[in-house]
Amino acid sequence: MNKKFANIVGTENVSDNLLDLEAYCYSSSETELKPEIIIWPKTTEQVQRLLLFANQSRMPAVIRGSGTSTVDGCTGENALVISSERMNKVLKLDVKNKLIEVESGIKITALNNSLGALKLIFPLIPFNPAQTIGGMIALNAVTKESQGLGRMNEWVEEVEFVDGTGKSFYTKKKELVVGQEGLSGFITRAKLRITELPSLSFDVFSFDQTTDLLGQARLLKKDKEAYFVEFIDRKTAQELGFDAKYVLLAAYASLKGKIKNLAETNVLQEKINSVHSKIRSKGYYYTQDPCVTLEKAYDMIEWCEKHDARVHGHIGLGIFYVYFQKKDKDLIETFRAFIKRLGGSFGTAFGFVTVNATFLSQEKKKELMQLKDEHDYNNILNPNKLINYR
Amino acid sequence: MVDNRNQTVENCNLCGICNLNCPIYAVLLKESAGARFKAFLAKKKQAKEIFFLCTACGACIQGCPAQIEIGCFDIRKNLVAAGVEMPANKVMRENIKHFGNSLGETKKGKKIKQYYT
Repeated sequence: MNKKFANIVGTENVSDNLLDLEAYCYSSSETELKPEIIIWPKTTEQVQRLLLFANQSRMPAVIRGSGTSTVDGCTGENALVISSERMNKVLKLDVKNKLIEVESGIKITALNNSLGALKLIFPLIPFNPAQTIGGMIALNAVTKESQGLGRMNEWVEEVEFVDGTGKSFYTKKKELVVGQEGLSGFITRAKLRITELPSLSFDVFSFDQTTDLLGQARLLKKDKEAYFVEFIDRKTAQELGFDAKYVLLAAYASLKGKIKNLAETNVLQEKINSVHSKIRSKGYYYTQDPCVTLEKAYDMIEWCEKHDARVHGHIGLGIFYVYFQKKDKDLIETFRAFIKRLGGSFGTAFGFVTVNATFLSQEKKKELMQLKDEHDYNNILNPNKLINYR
Repeated sequence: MVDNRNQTVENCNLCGICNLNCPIYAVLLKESAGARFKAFLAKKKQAKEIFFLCTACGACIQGCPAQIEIGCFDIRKNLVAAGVEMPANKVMRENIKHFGNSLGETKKGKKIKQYYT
């Protein structure tokens, strides 16, 4: 088996070494699933040949980028792990039309570092900056900027992928892979829209009462000029240097905000970017991604305060990140049940695979079944992760 | 913005941000070479030779949201004490014994014997 794969990708790009198998048994979750073999293809053609062989030998294959899935999306027991880590190049840059073509394994931070000198940016910055573009496409990533800029699908122009039968597609029908969490194909490259670095202005709102907070959030949600609106809980706000109140930070890609001075806006940006670090450094270990309506956010925030869980998030989009300490692990199930009772869901930000599969809608399940019929009828790609196909 | 105290590796939730900064990972581009795998092993209290594959630059701590220190040095020290070390380490130790320096260079006019007697 190893020899066969080595013929396709070269001996240096395949491993069944125990150390490598151990390294690919985890992602950013607590589950450990030991794979059978790890392969690092470098070209689309290699991916094609790999998936063709996997399809013929009915070998389950798991697609992996930088392994940041918190929902076990990129690990598989006795599976073939195909990693995009070595497909990390910028292929073409069209500055005039603001388009960039990249391989799927490039990390968002590396991509933006390469664009920085040209004062250009791929503006959607995910929760975890180690995420790859392929991962963001597979999840149809939602970030804080999504309030003003939409989700990942709006920034993908064209996408190249290899389906479960080994066929390669370069298509504008991005819905075949965007948000399908690796069930329909291995994304090999993508043409993305980029934009100029926005100069933001800010408004900072502080509230003692959740009702006042949500009233303002409602107004900001409708504000078409809002680039993003971030909510920070009282304790975290205090630790970041704000008053010990609920804080709403509204950013505008115009001069609408009261804070326009570059030095001040930079400080605010830094504070927003360090919310996650601040909470993590206080010993909060587990993160959940509840999605609730603004009306229900009141109950969620109260619950979090009562149980000493930290919360921040993209309030305009209804997506929050709730943090629990290690000692409160048992509380997570209670919290998930509580959010379910509120009519909320999990998985919008982190993905639905395995852990959040119960929150997947029937229409989405049907769509995935159809995609499997067309592109992976032997169910080799991420089998039984999201739907029970065959 | 983050507290300066470094946290123990038990608080690592394997987010993988450390790999972004890790120079070894940047070259070898595989999980087993990166800082996260070392954190994973350290959490499980598994000391392996892979801990020698680290430049000790500290970039993983700088990038870590929780400022976690993996503690590679201590693990390496324990490994050496247990007799597990890299061939280059052994050569370096022998060089220090015989030549008084890690590179094994002899100064003009000095004989090897003079270094250790």
